[in-house]
Amino acid sequence: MNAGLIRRSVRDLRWHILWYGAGLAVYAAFIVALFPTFRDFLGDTQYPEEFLQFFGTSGDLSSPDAFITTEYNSFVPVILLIYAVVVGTGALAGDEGRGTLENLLAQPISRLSVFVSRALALVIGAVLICAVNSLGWVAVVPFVDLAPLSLGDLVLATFTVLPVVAFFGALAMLAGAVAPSRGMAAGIMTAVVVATYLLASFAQVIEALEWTRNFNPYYYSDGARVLTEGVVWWHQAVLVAGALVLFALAAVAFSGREIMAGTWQPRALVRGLRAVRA
Amino acid sequence: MDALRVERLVKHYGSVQALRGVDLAVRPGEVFGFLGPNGAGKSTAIRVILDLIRPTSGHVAVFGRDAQRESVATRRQIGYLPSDPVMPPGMTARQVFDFYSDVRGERPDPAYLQGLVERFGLDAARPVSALSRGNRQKVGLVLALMHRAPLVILDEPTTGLDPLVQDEVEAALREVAAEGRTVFFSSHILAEVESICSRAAIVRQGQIVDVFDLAEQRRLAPRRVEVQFGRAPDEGAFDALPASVQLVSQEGRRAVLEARDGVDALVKFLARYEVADLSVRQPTLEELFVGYYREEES
Repeated sequence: MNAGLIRRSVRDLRWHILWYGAGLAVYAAFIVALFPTFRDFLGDTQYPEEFLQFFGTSGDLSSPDAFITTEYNSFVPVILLIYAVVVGTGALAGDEGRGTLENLLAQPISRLSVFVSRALALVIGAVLICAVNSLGWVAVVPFVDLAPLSLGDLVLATFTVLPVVAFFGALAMLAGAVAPSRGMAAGIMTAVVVATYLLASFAQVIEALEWTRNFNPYYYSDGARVLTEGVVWWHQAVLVAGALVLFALAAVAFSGREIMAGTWQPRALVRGLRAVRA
Repeated sequence: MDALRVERLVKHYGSVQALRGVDLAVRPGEVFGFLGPNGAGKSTAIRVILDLIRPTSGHVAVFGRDAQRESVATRRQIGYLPSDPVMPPGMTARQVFDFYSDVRGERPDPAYLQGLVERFGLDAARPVSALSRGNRQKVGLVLALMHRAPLVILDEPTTGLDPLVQDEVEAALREVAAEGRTVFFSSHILAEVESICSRAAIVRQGQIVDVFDLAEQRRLAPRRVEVQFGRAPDEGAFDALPASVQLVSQEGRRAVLEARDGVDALVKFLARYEVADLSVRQPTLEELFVGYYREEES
């Protein structure tokens, strides 16, 4: 690990942290501030149960947990997955495309060290986004009656997106290590994110698709259930374990990547394993 | 021990053979030119040396260390300038120097660094994103030189530089060699190789076609001699030329001859005539290079 590179990598993410964090904080504050107005209106409105399930909630939308789940928690993870894809593919494949990776890797620093610095920066950036995001709750929740929800519940729910962000960030870094370019890796990852999100949503309402949940990382993120059902810690553990495996695979593939070759590199994993063994 | 040793280096990209058995040995303290047209394999060979890409087969050693197995230790011995240096965005040149010093974990001598900055006429306070191609090249050159690495590898070092700065770069590289450090640089500009290299290799289609000592090459190479006679020589006068001399052209009182193995035999031949003027010129590397390629083609 290289402290200078980690500092620089986090610094490079400062605008991401600011804009994603501030945007979500403003949105969070807005949703909570509007809740009293919507509560009465929603109490008189009935939505079809399947419609609510598609958005990951159920029951009475005039309750604060169902309202915030529908308006916020059910789709905010998708926004943070955009961060994971942009930063995960940009961390190394983006540098390679810009031409800055060549000079960096020509320095006396191991590829593993470069990889770990960038992966850590991705995770630290996500933590900071959640922290800035939480300021939105802190600013408004004390002034609105959300009982039985507390400020702590909302902050905890905000931070539970981290494992799934790390999972997709690691997958994006793996894609960047084998794809010919950052654009290709980002395109593939966007398709994967959209497909898993839609599949998770459809699996809520279509019985025949229920089995797919077991293989869908988005399902394990519990974004749509965390406020109504609480944190399922083993789901979070599955995502963390998956993220660690993917980070390890991405590190090996990056170790075996031919820099500036501009081609698909499926053999990068094999070359990387040889390099790690050597 | 060689500063750089490359043995039977082969690199394939699918069906494309970028390197086809490259052998090189660069001695410590020399300025070694790696000469060849674009696409000959120069940058590929350099990237293998730096472990940016892995060879299909063959071996690279830097000061005796295996460049793949001990790549970090190897790169600690190297200062590198890529062919198109791109700097991390959002930094001034000075911050770029600090950043790479942090990454390397070693601080350059501030006086030496400042000397390089001033010598190349670089405004180190400007953001690198606002710099021209030439000024980015200067930043890259300072980065390659500032840690006083024992081996400096430069890929097309004078690209984008004005002639005055090119002269400064050449002088700086001579000084590097004078300190006992080694310079290995690729170029397709024959004049700069000729100006600063002690030895050079010509690479063509992924193979080394010749490695030559430039001073020795100049000594052995034929001299181009232009003679202005006092009066036009008689017809058939050049039939009696010594075997080591060849008539290139003749027009009136002016003749151009090429003398091999020194000019003594030619001078003795010319002594029979009234000579109004005489000039002897060493061949440029370009003439040698072009001559070499013509020989290869024929």
